Amino acid sequence: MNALKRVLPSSLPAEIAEMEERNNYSIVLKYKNEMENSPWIVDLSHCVKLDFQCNGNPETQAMGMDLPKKAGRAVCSGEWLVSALGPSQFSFIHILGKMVELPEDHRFTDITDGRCLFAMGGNGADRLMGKITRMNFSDSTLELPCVLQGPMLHTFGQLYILEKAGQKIFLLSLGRGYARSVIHAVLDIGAPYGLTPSGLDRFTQAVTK
Amino acid sequence: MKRLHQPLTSLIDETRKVTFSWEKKEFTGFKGDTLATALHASGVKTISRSLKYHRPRGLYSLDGEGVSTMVEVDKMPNTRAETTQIKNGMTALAQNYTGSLNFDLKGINDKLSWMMSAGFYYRMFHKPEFLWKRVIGPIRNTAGTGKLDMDHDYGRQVEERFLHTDVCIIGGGPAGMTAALAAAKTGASVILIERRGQLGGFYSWRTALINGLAAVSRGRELETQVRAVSNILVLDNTFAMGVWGERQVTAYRKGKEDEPFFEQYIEIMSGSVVSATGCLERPLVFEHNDRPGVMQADCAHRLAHQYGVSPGKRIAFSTGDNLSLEAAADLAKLGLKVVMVADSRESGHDPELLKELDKLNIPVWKNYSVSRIWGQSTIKKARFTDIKTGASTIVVCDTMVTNAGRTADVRLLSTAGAKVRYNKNLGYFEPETLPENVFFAGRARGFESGVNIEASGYHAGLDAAQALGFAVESFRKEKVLENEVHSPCLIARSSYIGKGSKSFVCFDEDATYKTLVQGVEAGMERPDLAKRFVSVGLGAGQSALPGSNLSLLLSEITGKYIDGFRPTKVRPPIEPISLDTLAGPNHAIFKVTPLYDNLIKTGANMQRMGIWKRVKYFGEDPSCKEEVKNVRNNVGITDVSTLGKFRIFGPDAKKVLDRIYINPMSDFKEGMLKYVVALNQDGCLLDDGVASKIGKEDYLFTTSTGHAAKTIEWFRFHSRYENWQYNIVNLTDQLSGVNIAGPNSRKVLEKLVDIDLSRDAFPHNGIQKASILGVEAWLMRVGFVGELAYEIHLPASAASSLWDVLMEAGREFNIKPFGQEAQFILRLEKAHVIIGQETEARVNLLDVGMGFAWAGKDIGSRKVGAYALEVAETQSKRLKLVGFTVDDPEEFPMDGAVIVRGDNDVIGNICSCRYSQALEKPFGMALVDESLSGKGSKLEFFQDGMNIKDRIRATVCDTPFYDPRGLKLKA
Repeated sequence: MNALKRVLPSSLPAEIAEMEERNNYSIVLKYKNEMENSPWIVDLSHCVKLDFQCNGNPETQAMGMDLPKKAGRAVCSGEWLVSALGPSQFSFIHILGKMVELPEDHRFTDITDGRCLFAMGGNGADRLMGKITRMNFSDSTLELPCVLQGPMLHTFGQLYILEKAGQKIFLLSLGRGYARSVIHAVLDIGAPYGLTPSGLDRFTQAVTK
Repeated sequence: MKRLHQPLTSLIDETRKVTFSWEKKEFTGFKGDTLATALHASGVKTISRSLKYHRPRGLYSLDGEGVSTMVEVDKMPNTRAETTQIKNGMTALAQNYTGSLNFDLKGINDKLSWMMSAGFYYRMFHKPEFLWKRVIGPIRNTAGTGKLDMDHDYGRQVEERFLHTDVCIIGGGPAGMTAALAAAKTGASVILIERRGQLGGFYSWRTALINGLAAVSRGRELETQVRAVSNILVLDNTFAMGVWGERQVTAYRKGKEDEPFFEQYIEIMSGSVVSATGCLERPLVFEHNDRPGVMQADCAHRLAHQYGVSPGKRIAFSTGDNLSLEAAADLAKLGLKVVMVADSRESGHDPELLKELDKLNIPVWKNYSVSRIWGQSTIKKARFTDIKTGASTIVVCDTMVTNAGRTADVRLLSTAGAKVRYNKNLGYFEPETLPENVFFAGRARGFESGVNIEASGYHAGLDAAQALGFAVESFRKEKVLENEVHSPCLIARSSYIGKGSKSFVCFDEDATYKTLVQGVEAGMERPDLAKRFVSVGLGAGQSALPGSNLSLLLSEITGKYIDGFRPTKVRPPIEPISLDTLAGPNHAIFKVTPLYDNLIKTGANMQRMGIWKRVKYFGEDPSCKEEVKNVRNNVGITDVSTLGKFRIFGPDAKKVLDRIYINPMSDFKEGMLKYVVALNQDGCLLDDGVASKIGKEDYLFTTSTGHAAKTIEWFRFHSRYENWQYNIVNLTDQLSGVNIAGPNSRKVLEKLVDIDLSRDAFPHNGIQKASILGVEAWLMRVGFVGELAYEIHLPASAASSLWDVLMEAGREFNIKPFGQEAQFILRLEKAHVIIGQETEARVNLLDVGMGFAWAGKDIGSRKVGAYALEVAETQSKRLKLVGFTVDDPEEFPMDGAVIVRGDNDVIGNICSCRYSQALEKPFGMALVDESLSGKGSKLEFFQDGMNIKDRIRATVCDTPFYDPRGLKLKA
């Protein structure tokens, strides 16, 4: 028998132009009718996500990467986004979504399948975020990248904010089970503002600018 | 009707006609008109009928504060005609009449008003009691205005928007704009809220000069500056509803034509708030002050200057402030006939305006006010009375422009917690104290001159920024203020109104001066009592118009000092908001498991259970007979992904498990699960699950679906005083779960895994790690349904594929899915408890017969609930959980039915009751008084729908009902 096929928690309602198999997932690289100048949303749920906790033994590094010193702060370390969720809890997200070896350190827990992850960017993305969350993502004192924790669509989640080429990219992370209703709501909210489902290439281009 | 020409201040576009219908007749107006201005321009003066007396009402303030201009627009009732812009094809209807708008049959109430004294509803009909039951229906039917069409799709798109800012300024007039500009200069982010479609406030309709520039031009100049600043966000068409703790401002915005929403609910978290909401005109109370044709001074001014509509043909003024004098002069300059101006003040008149009125041949009668008008749907004449002497003069007019001066609009500050007091020098109610980082500016502070108002706003903006730590000193300017002489209007009513039976204090509720006096005579002399007893300010206008008059009038009636009569606290929302906007977009946010598509394909009937959508049953049979049968005789498969799953690790992980779970934690055996129960401090059941040691100082445990989201907080809370080192990770969404149960379940699983599944190698309550087609999974041998069963927990992304593989592997055994209802019956036959179903707030671990889980007397771990169990151990007369079978198989009691003894004694209730195929009769579990918990005891059930003397009889029996020795479970 074949190995068990991996399935993403939701699919974006758009016609697929290009896709590839990765980590036993089918990943959409490009959708037809992606719009150049409108806000976009990309499904990153397949990206490896790790939880690292070190209660009682404060660490400054893990997996050879520096850990942010303050809760809410994040650092981009190579292809990883490392964020401090609390004084002793950190999240690691492989934002390029490649297949990676999981670390041996028992303080890491693989939560890749536990969280859905969507990236939103492009023109007007910040305005849309103001309809999705009451968290203060526009605070001028925020040092990017960062992570905010609070309600998104009235559901607790993490909002990671990156800045590339002067534009903000938002990563919305929620419990996997919420993926379908959240994506439905976000697309509904974003439709009048031109929010379009986009493939992984769109995100990769945005973060590698 | 031809419009007046005032291009500088006009809001209408006379090149764009708009056609709409009113009361089923076609009318035209211009783009920019509101429904009220377009109707007034077309000669329609009566727009609605009042709530109680059904008196004709027309436009009054142009800001839509009261119910007087509430109409139905495109089937939406209670729409404000004064603030709703007309659109082509709009259909508008009047409300609250029987017959026709002009001949309302219920107008008879006006003639019978003498019967309805203050507190009418409180005092009448309550005795004898039968009378109240008869009249309550008709009284309630007359309350409220407008009716929603429940079959109509209103198609209103609503949105939510959440904003954060340093400074939030409410009011886009001159003070608000200068405040915004000043705060923005310091680098602070600013949000400016304005209820109208354009900024400018009271500059917008005025041509008087401010520093040599027409007020309207100065307003536009400021607006241009404001809109050009990148750190100022302007929200026009936005109505602030309240200011809350931590300076949270709530508001809603009406969508413009090019915006995708009808209304948008807005929440703003701000560091500082500046209230620059200006002043309200206090209504003047006199006989028949509610007739169509009576309007406020700003209303008349705006009608003419912004909409080009003449307020009337012969316009009389009875006002008490300089802005009204300016309005009278402006109307006359447009060629309108202003017959006279009565001013209730003795002094304080702007000499320049007096000169101008003199030049225009408009007589100004100082110390006079209107005391009565005549006419029904139009005004025919008015009586003006000298306030001091009582000498009266009759004046022929068709329009009465009135106010009793102005007062600060402090409603938003009131919601923020500010206390107000009366300032005799200004004639205003003003804030006595302000909450932290809340400021107010502009006209509300008593300034009349534009220069002063702008300076006041500028400094308030800087103060607001400074409170947040922004450097402001370099932006401070010396305050160059113009001298102002205040001579406020201190009256609320005309002196010569007789009993005042038609002198309305509150238009919304038809409360009059006479009823207010009656209220005081009944002892309701304080504003908060009088407000409720007389119904002043309880209507949709939220006290906007009558609020300050109530206190002034009570002071006058009682002869007591005004300071004792502060206005009542303003109730939010300040601006009425429709419930659909408040409710927000209809996005159902819920969780589905990774098996959702597999289940739907197999015919699942899904139900929302808490945050999850889960399968109730498959196919067409809600009783699930086939699903149950297949599990008992063959093999079934079900989705258990919603169970809580957690990893806890660290040197003190075991200590915290020991604290939370009532079971002994010293005996974890490798490869074995432990059934664990969590209690609350009362010893009552909170949650249960299984736990296992999966590594050094590393444990995996499960919780019930309902408790999963609270688990981490519960652990942290009960270890908050300990310096324990442990880490906890919620894996509920990470690991999906599939349960295969039934005598053939082992045969199905053997086809997929390479570990020994035999009874000895993998016994009941065992746990093993296995690889299934390249994916690591935890296999648990648990038996909630009482059969040989395995739970497979694996990464969620692989669960859907696993389901298909298991279905394929089980095909030869006729594997079938089963849902929540089948599982409910199967576990009930095993008498397995569901917390929340067989337990309730009074029931502890011992009551439900689960004392076996208790580690016994606490020896130091301070287990949550242990002390309560020790106390309860020796208590008697507690409820006990028992099993029962129903005596007559044809009768079927429901969950929740009560157990009775005699006629009145309720001694328990049914927790769960279903039909058992194994027993061939209804059976279940019940909580019952200890005295009836013994085997063979007879129980009598009573439930809704039964005759009072009827009972369903049952007998207490041993449990489990099925496989009592557990042979199948441990097979």
